[in-house]
Amino acid sequence: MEARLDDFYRRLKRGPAFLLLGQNYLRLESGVDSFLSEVIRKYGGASAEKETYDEILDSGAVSSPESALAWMDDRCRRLSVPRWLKTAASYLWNGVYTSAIDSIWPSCFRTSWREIQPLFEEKYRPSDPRNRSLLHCTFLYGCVNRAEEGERPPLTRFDYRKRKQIAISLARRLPEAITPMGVLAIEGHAGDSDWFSLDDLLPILDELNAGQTHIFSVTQELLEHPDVKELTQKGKLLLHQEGLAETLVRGEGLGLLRLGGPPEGEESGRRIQLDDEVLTVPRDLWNQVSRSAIVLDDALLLQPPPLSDEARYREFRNFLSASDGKPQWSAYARGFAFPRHFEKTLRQAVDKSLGARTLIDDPVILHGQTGTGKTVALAALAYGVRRTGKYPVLFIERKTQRPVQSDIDRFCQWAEHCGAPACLLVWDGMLEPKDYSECLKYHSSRGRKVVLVGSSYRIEDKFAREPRFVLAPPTLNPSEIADFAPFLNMFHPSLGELLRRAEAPPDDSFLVALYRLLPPTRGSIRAGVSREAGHAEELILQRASKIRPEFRQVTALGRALLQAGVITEEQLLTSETKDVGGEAVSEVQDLTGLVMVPGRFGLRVPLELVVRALGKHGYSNFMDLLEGVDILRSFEDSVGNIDVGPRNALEAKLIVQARMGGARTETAFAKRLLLEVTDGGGGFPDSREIDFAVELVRSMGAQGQERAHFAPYFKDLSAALQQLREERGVEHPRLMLQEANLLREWAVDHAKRGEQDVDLEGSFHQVGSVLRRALDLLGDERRNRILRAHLLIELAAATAARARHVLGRPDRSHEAIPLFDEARNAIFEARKQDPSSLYPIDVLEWATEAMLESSVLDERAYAEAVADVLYALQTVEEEDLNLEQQERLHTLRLKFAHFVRMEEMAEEAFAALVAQGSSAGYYLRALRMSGLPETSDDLSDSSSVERLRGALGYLEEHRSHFSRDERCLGLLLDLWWMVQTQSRFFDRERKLLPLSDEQWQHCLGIIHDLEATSTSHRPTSIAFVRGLALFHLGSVQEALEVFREVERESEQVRGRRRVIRSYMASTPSGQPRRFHGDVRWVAEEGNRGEVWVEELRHGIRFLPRDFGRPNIARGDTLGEFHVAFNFLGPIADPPGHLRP
Amino acid sequence: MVMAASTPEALMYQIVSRVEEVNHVASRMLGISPGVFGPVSLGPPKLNPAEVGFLRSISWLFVLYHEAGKVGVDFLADRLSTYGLDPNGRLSAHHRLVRQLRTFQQHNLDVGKSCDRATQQICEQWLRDQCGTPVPGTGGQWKRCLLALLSEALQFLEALRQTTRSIEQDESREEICREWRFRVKRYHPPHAFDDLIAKVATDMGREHVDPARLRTRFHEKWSEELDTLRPDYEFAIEARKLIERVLLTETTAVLPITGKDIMEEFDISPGPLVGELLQRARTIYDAKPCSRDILLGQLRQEVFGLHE
Repeated sequence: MEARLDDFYRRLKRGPAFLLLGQNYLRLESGVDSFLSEVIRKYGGASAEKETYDEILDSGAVSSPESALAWMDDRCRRLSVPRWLKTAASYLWNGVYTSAIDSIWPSCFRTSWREIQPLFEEKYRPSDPRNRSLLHCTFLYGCVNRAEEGERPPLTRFDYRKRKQIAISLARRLPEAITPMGVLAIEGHAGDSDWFSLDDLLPILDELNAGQTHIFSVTQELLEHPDVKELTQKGKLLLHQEGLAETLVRGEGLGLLRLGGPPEGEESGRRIQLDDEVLTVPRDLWNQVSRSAIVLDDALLLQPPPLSDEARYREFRNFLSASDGKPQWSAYARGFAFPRHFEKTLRQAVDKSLGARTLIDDPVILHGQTGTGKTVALAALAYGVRRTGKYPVLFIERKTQRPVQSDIDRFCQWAEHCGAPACLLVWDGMLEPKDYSECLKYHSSRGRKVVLVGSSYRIEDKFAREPRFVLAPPTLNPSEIADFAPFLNMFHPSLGELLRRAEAPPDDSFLVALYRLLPPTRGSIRAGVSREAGHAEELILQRASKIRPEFRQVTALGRALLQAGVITEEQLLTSETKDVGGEAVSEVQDLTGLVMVPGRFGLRVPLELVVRALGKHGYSNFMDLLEGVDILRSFEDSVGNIDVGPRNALEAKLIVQARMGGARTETAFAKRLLLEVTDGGGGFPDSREIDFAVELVRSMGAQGQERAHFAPYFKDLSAALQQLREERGVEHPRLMLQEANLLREWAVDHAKRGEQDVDLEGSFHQVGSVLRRALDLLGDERRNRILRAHLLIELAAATAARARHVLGRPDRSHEAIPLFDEARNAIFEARKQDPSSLYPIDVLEWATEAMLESSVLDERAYAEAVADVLYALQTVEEEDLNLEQQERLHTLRLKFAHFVRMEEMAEEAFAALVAQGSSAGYYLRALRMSGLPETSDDLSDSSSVERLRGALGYLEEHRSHFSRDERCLGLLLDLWWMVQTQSRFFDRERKLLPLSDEQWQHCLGIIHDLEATSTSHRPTSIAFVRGLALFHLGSVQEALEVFREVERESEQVRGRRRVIRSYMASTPSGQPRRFHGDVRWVAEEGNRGEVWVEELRHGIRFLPRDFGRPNIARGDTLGEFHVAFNFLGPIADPPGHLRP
Repeated sequence: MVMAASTPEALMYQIVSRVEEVNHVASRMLGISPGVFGPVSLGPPKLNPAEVGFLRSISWLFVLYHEAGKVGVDFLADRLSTYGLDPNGRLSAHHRLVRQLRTFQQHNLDVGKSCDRATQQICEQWLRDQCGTPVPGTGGQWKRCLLALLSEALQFLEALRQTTRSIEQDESREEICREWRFRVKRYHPPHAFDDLIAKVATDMGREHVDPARLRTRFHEKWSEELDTLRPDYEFAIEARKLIERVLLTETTAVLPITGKDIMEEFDISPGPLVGELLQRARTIYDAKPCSRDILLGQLRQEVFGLHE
């Protein structure tokens, strides 16, 4: 086979693969462009020897452009797609560009496994430009099926000239999209008669590397073009007389490429068998969820094709080499994953959760240090559970871009509607457990039964002792070691023995090192065993024997890297640094540094970013560099985005330590990457590069695992982000948050050391400016609430730190008071944005402590500050916190109570406060009288209730004095509720409420007063109780309106509390009220409906499955039922659901 | 318009009349005969008992759609949605279903294979939808399936008839018909290859090649490759090339070495290099057949010689 075709197939297979369709594509099959012929027939045009698209310009179509374009589009539906194009379209392209304007060709790219995303204008920059299942098709000159000016084709010469500028700008995206790795296939280009002429096209092709552009069906005109000749001589253009489809078919025949879509696009793809039922995931849902997670469909469960022993060994090594990243499911089917013993424990924990009958708020966490087999264990778990055919399974590989939770939610909702009892979500994110908890709460708050399994670094605290935390031990235990040799012998009978001879002790890097310890081919195993000093053994044994005694301390991986020549002994044992800025480093070292520094944190660098950081020369040599280094790999995710990363984070860490030796060089590499980050255009779209930058900075920053290592360089990193913002115009609130955080942490560190020679004031001031600017940029959109809360908390922390700093200077301590007030305002605002977060309270607590200790506050201000903290601690909605956060809350309460010694406060002090008109005095006194929070632990204890009742009486008596104080009113409501219902808010399911109309009226009165303060920290919960009160008072219409408002606002309520049926419609005696009604409406899917309730004369929700009547229809009676309430409103509840 | 019909025989009668009308209109419009459907060698299916009727109807419809009417049915089916005749894709699904049912009923499916598994699932679902079970057993169940199949076929053919009539009235009729005729011209039915295979085989001194057997194995692949060629290709030349390639690769002597020998001899992993070395071994062996060891030795010499 010709070398250039061989190279074409190789590049096509590796990708990214782009197709450029010229305006001649319709002519290729029959010699006639049917579309153009019809248009010219209809609208005429300047007669020419050969029909070209120029004839459309200034033709009769101009007189009525819209109807002309509609007519043209209509013609396209009548004309045939060329047969060759159907073949060419069946390849898994990463993107299509075209100068054609018809709407014939897109139909053959739209298949059962692929949707197309048309792209017309420069302003749209997709986040996944190489997505194979959502194919981006760039219409350089618009399309006849569009009417908008920026999207339709030009019909006059002037419009054509205007559009040409856009076409060139769009086409200039090609080099970055194709990357130095990919290939561009051009078919049907009409040469100089193409609207995207050679003059426009060739300069862009010149930016690509040699061997990247292949032009098919070349004409004589093209062959003789001088610029084409020049580019051909440079190797940048490869010309083929044959057509693209012919070439593709030949490649398929030779087994070098595959036509016909991805495995999930096959007929068994997108299907999930659950017991006896086969579900087909709708294509749009599949494409949506695939952005965020891998759906394990039945295609993955099919037995992979058989392999020869040699190929099996190669695949095993490949599996070891690439065990991070997107799982190779066939490897699990082939039994390549060595089962570690902790996997059994993990599976048991997961099975237990999957079998549970309730919604689950706590994730299962697999934790352990890098290189212990967590990724493999998680993929094996996902595969194993899916194989049982009982549950749908989603897998999220480790990547910088976080999954979109609504994508996952939509899939889980669909699966539930199809009868799945639960969904398993396996997320190899290496995140903190709280991140997984947040994710799970999102799903449980929507009523999804999702079991989430996540990976994390080793967790040392006491929570890790819970059964849902499974530890992946770093070393193999004796039993695993005993199993290991027989496992290896499956690949070659002598492999276990060979490895034993290599004397590689199974230390904590053994599993990562295994790939490098195994001989490259199966043949060399036999050679190694039969000849004592054979090739393979020389590689393993001889080099190992040369290791000096002190080198024995180095890990198995270290030795393996040495043997592979990746690092030298000196590099491994010394800490020589290289100055990237000043001293020239080789290109390989440069690329390695740019990838390994993020790689040591498990991060992969977006390919475009690393190529930009390498510079133009780096682009042209990139493939040589990448292929020349065994330690780097490229990873393509399910939407075609490509990252470059190390084979393994542990390997990267060792290489960084050996080659760089210090945080200074690492920071220099990180800065180079940060300065090349782009945000993908205006606004704050999801951007891989922004995500990457945020994760990199977080890993190297105060929240990272190696804070102390990088702490001296926090300011440098912050300055890089500042430079990016000020000089390169990348102003992104998430990056600005990191910029501020790094600078604050740096300043706080220096302040703690009492250093006077650094400008701490200036740094704190700058932090405030950056954050305020970020808040301005963010605006007040609802979806940005969480980020706004983070910015406000950071602002509060910085301002409070600044206050603490000035407190240390007696001459300026008075300046602390306004700063403290500013910090508190930011904290209160942050709580409003995200009421379920504990961070604002944490900051409030330490900031207040610092102020109280300094004695700068007067008596009244002191009491106000104390009351604020206590009230904040009182109103945290504990139900939404995970165990760790609950523990933290408890610690904060104890710590602050100990600090203020409230029990020791004298009555006179309260009296003095009250006398000054301070409502904090009432609050503090009532709180002390109530004995909260301890007295709320057991409300069946009469002495506790007596204390609460006493405090309630006190507040009721003085209510007129604090009618506008949220703290007192909030405490009053809590006390009233506890005394009247013997329960705290939301502390159980289907609680009956024995309250009379007068009591509900009283409750409503307190709520009205509380809401009138407009400062409530738990507005959604309070509104919910208002809805309950109105319902029980008979104001059903008003109550339903309140519940609708609660439903809208409850998006921010994380956790199952949102969907749990907390309360029942009750009689004053505490019995459930009984209702009757018939079905007014049922959704087509039969999963939800509305029942008309006779007693209420209103419709409310009901779920057919609750009543065991999936086929219930409009008009059917629901019989007798109860009404329950959750944050989504009232819902019909079968009487049997209420347990005595 | 589809007439309500309650018996298989009545449905079959209407089906045949639709076929005739489509053929008549298309033939006048295109100026070629037959218009869409060539002659069907299978006799009209016997419809009683229903199980036999169902199985025979599948075979008959398969031949009608995918052999006798191959080009025209595909061409018209592609345009059903253009004329608003198949808004929910049900008729196109019927077109595919006939092929799938034929595979399901007449082949031994391997459910370990993705496509076979899907075929089984689709067919069983269709049967379940018609008669309540994926495995019809009683005469009543088979009759429901037969009626459903023939009703779908009638609706499909009625839609083809309407499409043909719509093209007849279309402003772009000439261009559509030109494309249609081009498709017909480019289609080479299986028997078109048979004579050519016989000639090529004789020219190569391989008179005993069975043309029909060879064509059955490669017809689909050859057609696909011919579809990708330029409009002015000559069938006799291009098809000859394809046939000669098959005869050369299919009938050459078996090498005394395998890829496994090459991997062991050269200590290389599976990959393109193994294929390349096998290719070289083929060249050496074709020039002068020899034993395994000699071939490996010569190959080694050639590889090392090249490296030097």
